[in-house]
Amino acid sequence: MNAPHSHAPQGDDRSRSAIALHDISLSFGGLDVLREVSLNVRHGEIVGLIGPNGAGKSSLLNVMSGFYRADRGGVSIDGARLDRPRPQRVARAGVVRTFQNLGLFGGMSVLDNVLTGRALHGKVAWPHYLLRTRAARNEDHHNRALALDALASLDLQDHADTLVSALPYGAQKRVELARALAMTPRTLLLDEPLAGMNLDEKQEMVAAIRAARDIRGATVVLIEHDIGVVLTLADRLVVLDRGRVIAVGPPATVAADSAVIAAYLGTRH
Amino acid sequence: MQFFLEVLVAGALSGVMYALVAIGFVLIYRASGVFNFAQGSMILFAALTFVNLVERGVPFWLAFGATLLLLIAAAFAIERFVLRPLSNGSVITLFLATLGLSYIFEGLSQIAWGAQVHALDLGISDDPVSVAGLSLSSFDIAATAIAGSLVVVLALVTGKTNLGLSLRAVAADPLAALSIGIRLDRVTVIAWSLAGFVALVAGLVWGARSGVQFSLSLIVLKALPVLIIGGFTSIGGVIVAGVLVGAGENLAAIYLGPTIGNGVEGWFAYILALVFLMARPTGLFGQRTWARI
Amino acid sequence: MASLPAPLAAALPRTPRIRALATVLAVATAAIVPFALGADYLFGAVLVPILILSLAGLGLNILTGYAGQLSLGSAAFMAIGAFATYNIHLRVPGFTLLPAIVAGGFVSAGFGVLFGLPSLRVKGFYLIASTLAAQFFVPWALSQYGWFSNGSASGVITAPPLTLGGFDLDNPAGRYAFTLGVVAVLTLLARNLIDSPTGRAWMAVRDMDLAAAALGIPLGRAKLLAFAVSSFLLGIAGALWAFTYLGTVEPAGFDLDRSFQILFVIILGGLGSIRGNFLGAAFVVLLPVALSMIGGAIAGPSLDPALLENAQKVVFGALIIFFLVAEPDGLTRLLDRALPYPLELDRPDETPPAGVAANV
Repeated sequence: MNAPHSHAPQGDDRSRSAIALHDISLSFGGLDVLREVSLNVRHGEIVGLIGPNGAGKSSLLNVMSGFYRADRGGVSIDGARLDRPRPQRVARAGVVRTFQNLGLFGGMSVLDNVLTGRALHGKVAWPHYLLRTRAARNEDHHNRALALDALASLDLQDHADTLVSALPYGAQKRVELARALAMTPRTLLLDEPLAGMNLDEKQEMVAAIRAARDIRGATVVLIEHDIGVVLTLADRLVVLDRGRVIAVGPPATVAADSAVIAAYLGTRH
Repeated sequence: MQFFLEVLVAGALSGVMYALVAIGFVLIYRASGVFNFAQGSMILFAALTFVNLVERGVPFWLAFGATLLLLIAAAFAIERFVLRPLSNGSVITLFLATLGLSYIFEGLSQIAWGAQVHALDLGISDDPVSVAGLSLSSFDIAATAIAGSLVVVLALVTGKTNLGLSLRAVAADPLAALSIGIRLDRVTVIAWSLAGFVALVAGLVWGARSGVQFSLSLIVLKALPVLIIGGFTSIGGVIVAGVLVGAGENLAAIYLGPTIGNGVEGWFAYILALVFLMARPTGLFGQRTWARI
Repeated sequence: MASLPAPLAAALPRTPRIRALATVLAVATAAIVPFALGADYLFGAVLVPILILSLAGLGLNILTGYAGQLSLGSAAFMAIGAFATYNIHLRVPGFTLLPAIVAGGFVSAGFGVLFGLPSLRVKGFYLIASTLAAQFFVPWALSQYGWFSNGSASGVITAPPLTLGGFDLDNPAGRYAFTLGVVAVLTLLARNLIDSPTGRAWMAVRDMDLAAAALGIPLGRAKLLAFAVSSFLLGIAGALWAFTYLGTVEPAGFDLDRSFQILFVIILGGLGSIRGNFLGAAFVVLLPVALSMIGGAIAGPSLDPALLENAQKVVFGALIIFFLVAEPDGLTRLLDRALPYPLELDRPDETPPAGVAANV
């Protein structure tokens, strides 16, 4: 189990909190989107966030990543409580997210998109790049190598110079994951990463997500509608319905939970 | 004190005339989602056409009608050759296209009608009149009345008629409007024709005030601060904003002028708009938009 | 949400050697051929303004084409550069022409940051309020306060003779050489910046600022840097306009029409492109010349200059619309298509991968 390059979390790491929500409540213009949601994602876990449409899953992710400010409650990352963090603060803490509607930069190539993921890791200031000093060229070389690695892990290395908006939807989603991986994240928040993909692509994505946890030691929270994928990939499931957490636990348990079934079938009103 | 009030009110009435120009922008913004930079040159084009027809002996209402027809024809052409091909474009693309349009209008107007200044007589006198102890220009008052009636007419059209409903639907969500069967191209042409009508009225009023000349197309630039302060989507908002800008500009010119120099009115409105923009990024009455991520 | 028509991107060239070769070739051509032809008219009336407008276009392109911040105030920053250079050269001991020009650029950059501050709070189209305010305020201030023009009545400044390190460059060829040197160096530096994390941050802000924030990119800092660099280049372009092109400038020469002219350079040339600026500037300078030649051929000596000017307006307006509709990537894309084989110097490959349908 101890692969030489593995950064898999060790025993006691698993109990530490990677990202947690404490009693989050959020409403938009009178509509309660999230009600007293608490959630603790442990280091190295893969948590699946599921629920019927409109349950508030994306809103929850947006709170976690600093895009929404909760009305009440807080977020902590690595056990440290962050006060109403902005997206950049969250990114600096090693939490990386993808977007439901694709957060790619349409005017840039695939490689450049992934390279933007290295923004936080830049140590060389812009005047160096202006004059193309050795330090700048070295850092550039290093970043490109990492970016190409990330692309290769998703079988995109042949399209590095293609304009990203020229790629089909499924490939674009893979680019977004590659970019997220290039950021060497501690925690990944993935909003429907498999949407619009065929079977092969889904398998590739699942393998990449699993590798991110197994090899790079990342924690993963993902929203996904493909229940089959979620059941096999996730260690734990969190079920949201109309803004509330209605079930938490291992996939088998949650799948059998009557409240969960009722929520999906809509019999409870 | 009386002097102050006179400056204030004169400026405010002046501002109503800015608003008159800005209303055309609001109409187009609500229908096509674009800031029509060509509005000013449309005003120039309308006024020049009208004045040249009248100078050749065409009666007032016939000249008015003929100019209006020309503007409607232009609306068709614009919808067909500029807006439809760019319907997937961004706001800024469309704005740049209207910039191109403004150059075309300006060039054509002056090729057709020449560059001399024309006087325009609407039959409204400019004698000073005393209102509540203040000496005001009767022309400005008449212009305010015209602007006011225009607003009432437009409010009635957009509020009470089916056409108005279509206009508002298109402004709110063009795709949804398409999906319920609204003819986008027809609504667009109508909106631009209405804007052309407003441009004609504005052109006549401004032309009567300061003569029909090239600088008329520069008024569009003053309308921009009015729109920014009032919001791009509210006709009532631009009236309020116009009054604010006009009054502020006049006060600044009179009271600040002696200290910091002549020509303050050339830039004051823009600095004012900038200040407002920082305080209220969508204008006093504009709509906030939300991004879906 | 892209904020501008399908812009070009400065992507990693697949053939860096070809690109370097092409650049060297271009500069060498520009440095040798005109001197071989030797026409003073060519230098003074065609090449120098093309170079300066290319630099101005590059400045605006950085702000609008790469960083996505629309600006209508380019000419105002040119004016600041021109007048700052003039005053620094005149009043500050030890500042010969070239250092004064650089200093003028920095002054302009400072004002660029000032007028760029609203971009931290305002997005999209409303932002033009700020640059438009600059466009009206700056020329007014420069002509209102005689200090800027050393007491001249209407704010006119006259450039001193052009010398560099003891060499007298005060002739058409010398001015051209000076301008070429400055523009070539600045273009190279700008290219370095665009191909770096800074340039990518700008494009990220342009294409989807929310996603850029999620990557940790500081939006405000990126925007202000764009304003600073853009205004720096525009300021130097303004100084060159005064010192190597016209010789005499007044604030009114940096009016809204000038700002539109630079906007046309980048739209016609291609947003988000470096060589596009040169193509666009050439177009903007040469088209009126071409039109007046055509007009002269048709109407003979009785050609009305006003008619010509208005015809130019109509042609430019129609061209803008044409390019926006038919070829949003501008002349640089047309050039790509016209070449026998793709050089792909400036943009990533748009053809979708083999065997896969393109994304609609």
